[in-house]
Amino acid sequence: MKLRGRLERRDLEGGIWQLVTDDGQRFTLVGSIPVKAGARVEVEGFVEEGFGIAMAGPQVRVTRMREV
Amino acid sequence: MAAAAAVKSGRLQTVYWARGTLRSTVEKMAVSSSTLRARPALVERAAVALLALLVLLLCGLIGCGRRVVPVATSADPETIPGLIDVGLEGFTAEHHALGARIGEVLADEKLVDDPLDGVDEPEELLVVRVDPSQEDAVLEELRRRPDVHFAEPVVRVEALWVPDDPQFAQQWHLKAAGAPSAWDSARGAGVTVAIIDTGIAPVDDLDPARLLGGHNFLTGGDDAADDHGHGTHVAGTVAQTTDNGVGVAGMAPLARLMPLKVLGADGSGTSVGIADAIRWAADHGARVLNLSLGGGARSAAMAHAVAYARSRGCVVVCAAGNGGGRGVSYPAAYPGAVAVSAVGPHGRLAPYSSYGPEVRIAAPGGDKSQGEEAGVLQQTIDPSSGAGVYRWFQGTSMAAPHVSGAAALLEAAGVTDPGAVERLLASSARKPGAYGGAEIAADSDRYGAGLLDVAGALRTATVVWTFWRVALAALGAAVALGHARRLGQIRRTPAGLWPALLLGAGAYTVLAPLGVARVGLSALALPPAGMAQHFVGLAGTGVAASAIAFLGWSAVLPLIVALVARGLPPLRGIAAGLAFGWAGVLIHAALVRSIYLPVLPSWLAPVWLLIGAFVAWWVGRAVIVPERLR
Repeated sequence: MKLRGRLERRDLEGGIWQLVTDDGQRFTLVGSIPVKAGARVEVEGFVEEGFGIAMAGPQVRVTRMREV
Repeated sequence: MAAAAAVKSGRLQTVYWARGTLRSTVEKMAVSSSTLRARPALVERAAVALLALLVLLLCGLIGCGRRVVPVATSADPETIPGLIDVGLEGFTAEHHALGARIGEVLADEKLVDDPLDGVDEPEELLVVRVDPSQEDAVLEELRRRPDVHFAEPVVRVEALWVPDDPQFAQQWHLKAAGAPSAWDSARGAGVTVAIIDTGIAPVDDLDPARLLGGHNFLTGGDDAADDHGHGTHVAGTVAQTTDNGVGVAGMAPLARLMPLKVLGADGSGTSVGIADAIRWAADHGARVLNLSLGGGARSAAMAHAVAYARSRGCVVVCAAGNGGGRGVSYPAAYPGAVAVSAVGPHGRLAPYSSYGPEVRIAAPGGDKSQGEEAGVLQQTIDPSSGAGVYRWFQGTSMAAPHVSGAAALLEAAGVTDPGAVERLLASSARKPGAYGGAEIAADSDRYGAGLLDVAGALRTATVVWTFWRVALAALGAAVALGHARRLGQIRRTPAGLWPALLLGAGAYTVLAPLGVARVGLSALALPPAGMAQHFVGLAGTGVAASAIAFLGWSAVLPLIVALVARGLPPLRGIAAGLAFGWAGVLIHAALVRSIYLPVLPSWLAPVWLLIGAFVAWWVGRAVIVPERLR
């Protein structure tokens, strides 16, 4: 799947990465995050079962991320 | 904090009344005892009636005692010079103006007078800084006003034992949860808490002796070291090494930690791994399972694992989730799990906390929208270097381990049934907002039963329960003695019966909140029937410990004592008293369903206890009859 939106670093559970898409949806991102918080990004990845520390919306395993 | 403490002083009058009544009752007992001595049957009846009265009065006293601060004058070294609090009738602008006239108003709070509690309370509380040299005169003037309930210096209120960890003062969350007072009765010794998380790093503020061997469900090995930091922080809240002069404190400082790594360095894992870890923990002696994790997907494997752990007597504590709205995560939402929502320092639901009907209780999880130090402070690791660091985290993951630590303290105090632990935590929970003296409407979806207060739960498990045990034991003894008299088998109560009854019923546990754990005598928070577990381990942690729990929570020991006493007449009263006391403890445990016994289904444990209670009573009844009277 491909998502576009703003990358956020949220101060939850010691710090989690989230993507806020253009239509306001939130996804927790796991995997390699090479871009700084606040940037607008395009994310490629897949939705996981999503058990973990974040507990804040669907979890996406990032396979590729780039700034747009 | 001072304001919150001062609010409580509005109940002082009631306490004095209760104490006065108690004193006069005791005096009456002393006066009347000589009259009654001539009629033994009446003595027994009067003793039971007075004991019951004493129980009721003391229970009332304890209920009021929760809300009491010490009485002080401005000369008392515990008072803060120049700081006073005033409780006023009604909430009016005039009162604020009054405060401003006498000094600087630091707080002006609206209070709620609960119409059902029978206590006329103030509706406004002012905390005012005044000129210390004028303090006594100001207080005198205020006390003359008809709308003033009380006016007094603000008093420093501290627990009996304050650990020397240098950053403990910043751990508002442990104090809010009631840990410092709870540490006087229990510290979690002998209880294992499984941390199902990212692992635990061996940081310097975690005693390695308390860190058990764990398991890594990602690699299949035994190395459950933390490569993220989350699990180490969570473990610290449960059992950070306390009073070691280093860093910070934890809820249950003497509990053991079982690290089970199910989440990787990115903080995520799978439902299968988590379900396996839950079962592993239940099978390897963990009594409390902390799951500061979750997800939105249902998993039958995980639901069954939670039910399995619960059936093995484990308390399964889970974070409600960080979605910031309605909808509790799994596994918190499964039956058998204790779902914990998060509140900030004022006791208000944190903006990130999920909520819903599954939430059982709320606990401090931090609210950093109030500032960095409104988070939860523990030691963790910097994942990039692996070095130990102290960090303020926020999340429902931080709230859950406060409840897990509280559960460990209750288990250490002899409450081993998970349902009983949950009921005690729920019944002692405080009103939303109580941490900061705020007024927040009760909302069970957001706060469950309310805000965690482990000190209150422990007070019930030690002091309140002890009175009921003694009362039940005394009732059983009175029935047996009355019966023996009617049959002409005895003329007077055998010597030593009543003191032995108090010992058998564990009457000494009323002293637990005075600091038995502080002097290394935490076994004294348990009745004799539960004492073995303090030394050999809780039932369910091993075959030997379980067998001893079955024996302890039966009539075996009083039976042995009675068999010995049969041949030694002077000991018969003592043996009988011990047996009646034991019966009181067993019947109370059956009624409140406080004891977990392995293998037995949860409904059968009370049956075991009731049989034991009856046998103990029968043993007591049998041993008081040496021979028929001439």
